[in-house]
Amino acid sequence: MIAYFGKRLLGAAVVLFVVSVITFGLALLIPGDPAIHIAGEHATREEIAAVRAELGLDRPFPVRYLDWATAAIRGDLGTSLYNSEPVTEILAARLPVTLSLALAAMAVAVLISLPLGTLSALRPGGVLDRAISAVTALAVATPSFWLGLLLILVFAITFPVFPATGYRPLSDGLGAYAAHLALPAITLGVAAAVEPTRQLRAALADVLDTDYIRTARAKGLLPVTIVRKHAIRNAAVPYVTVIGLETGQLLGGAVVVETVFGLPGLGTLAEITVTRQDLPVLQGIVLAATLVVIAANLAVDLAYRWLAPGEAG
Amino acid sequence: MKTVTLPPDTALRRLMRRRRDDSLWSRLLRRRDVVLALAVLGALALVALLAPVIAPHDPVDQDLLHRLEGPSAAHWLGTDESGRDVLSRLLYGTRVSLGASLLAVAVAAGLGVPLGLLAGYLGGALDLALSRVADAVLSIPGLVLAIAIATALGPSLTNAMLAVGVVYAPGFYRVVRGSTITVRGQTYVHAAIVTGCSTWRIIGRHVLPNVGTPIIVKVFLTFGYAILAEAGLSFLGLGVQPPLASWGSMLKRAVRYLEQAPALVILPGLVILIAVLAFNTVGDGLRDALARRDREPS
Repeated sequence: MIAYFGKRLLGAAVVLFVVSVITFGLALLIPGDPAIHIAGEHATREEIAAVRAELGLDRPFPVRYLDWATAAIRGDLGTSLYNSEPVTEILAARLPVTLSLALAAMAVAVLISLPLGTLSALRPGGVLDRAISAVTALAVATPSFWLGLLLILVFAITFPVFPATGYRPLSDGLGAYAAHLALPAITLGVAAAVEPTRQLRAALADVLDTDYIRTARAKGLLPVTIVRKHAIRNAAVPYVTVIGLETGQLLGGAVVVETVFGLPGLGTLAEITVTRQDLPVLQGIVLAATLVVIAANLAVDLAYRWLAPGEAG
Repeated sequence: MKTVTLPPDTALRRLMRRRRDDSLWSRLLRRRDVVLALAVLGALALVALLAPVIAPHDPVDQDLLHRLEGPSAAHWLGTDESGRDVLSRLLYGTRVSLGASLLAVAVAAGLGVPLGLLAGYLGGALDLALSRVADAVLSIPGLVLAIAIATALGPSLTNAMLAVGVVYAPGFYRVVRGSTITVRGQTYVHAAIVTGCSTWRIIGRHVLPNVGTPIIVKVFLTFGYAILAEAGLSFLGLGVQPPLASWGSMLKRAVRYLEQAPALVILPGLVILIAVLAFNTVGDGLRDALARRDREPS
């Protein structure tokens, strides 16, 4: 178990290393000399040279990467070019919002995909199965921010059930917190439910076609009992995998959905950062989002061991 | 002369029937949803090409006396917040959105296909290194990476779509690498090696044609994602710059008038939905047809 988990951790570390190189390398993409950009167009040659030295731009790329990476491991991601605040503090203030949204969306995705996937697996090719597959095809083609706007139109403007925009932390009470997260979580969760629904349908349909399920049927068990007691656990491994893989998708989608609903998370931060061209903050967002994805994948690996102790290797 | 009639279910008859029906395209065209989707894609391509001819108005022509109007004889889909004709903007937007997505798909395939071929065929350290990079790129949330790259390059539609292309390249890489590894073990590739063909010739003449279909499937599915990504990035202000409009940037501007003129929000979203659905339907249909062919070897 420890050896298995250690191997996974090592793999995650390699991925994180490559991601950090890519993230740091983003600076190389900026056209022109960042020192001139910061010093201003009318700066003298000496002033530009001073900025270059201050930013460490006069040293070779690998040296700069090492400095940046060792600082990053200590939790120092530099300061914002816009207001000189430490990047780590900016991220820490916003991460809870994005994580709340992602977890709530994940819950919505499970609430949608579990029943829909099960129902379509009961009779593959039947009317219900085809209807559900049409709905998932529609859901995957819907721009998430558009769905969000439609939800605002219906559930905040026409029928004011939920607040249209904004965020309340959990400390303001569970009711306000949940009400403000509801529409954004549904928006994100619908798209995130598609792959899990398809995966569950395929896995469950395979399981339901096996001999031991036929035996259970022959005993006269209800379909619901068969699925709940016998089949679902065996179909759970691919399902959990897909749910884990959706994390990246969710965090990407969160950028746009947070913007629509005015949630002060990493997504709106990314949007603000774009107009300010604040690269250190943007690098921090990329790293933070990737860390969450890697953590989710490790959690999935652990879940495997619990769901199918013999199989994972 | 005597004609021979075959009994209804001989092996020969089955073989003949299969010959007639078995091509990938005929399998594909038997599906009504795929045919409809192909028709939609054809229509969209025509609109993109002919936008200047068929658009009733200039898409950037403002008419401040007729702002946010509903449908009329002059403006079939009404006007936007600057009095511009919504239908014309949607028609021109087709050109911008599809053109931008095409660029992203070309970048993704242009990076992913050759690297996938090389990694799959040569294996070894190159494969290991490229696959680690692909893993890393795939573990960064796609839209976040696209935003970071596009921001570093500077806001423009071209830069945004280059970024989207980089984000989707590992998808092509994985598909091509996997198919190449399968093909590499085939007898005809060994034969080519034995007869002294160069590595480049083998990859170009023997491997590439045999990994073509999975690439086409990937092109259609990636096109759908690219349209959504373009819309998302334009919505964030990273895509097309005004006064030009793409479907996504039309949505961005319309948000402020959600209460007054919901149609301005609903229409571009609907067009995006239809376009993405069409690309996905063709891609999924192709993939299913391909999977069935592989399951029943003739």
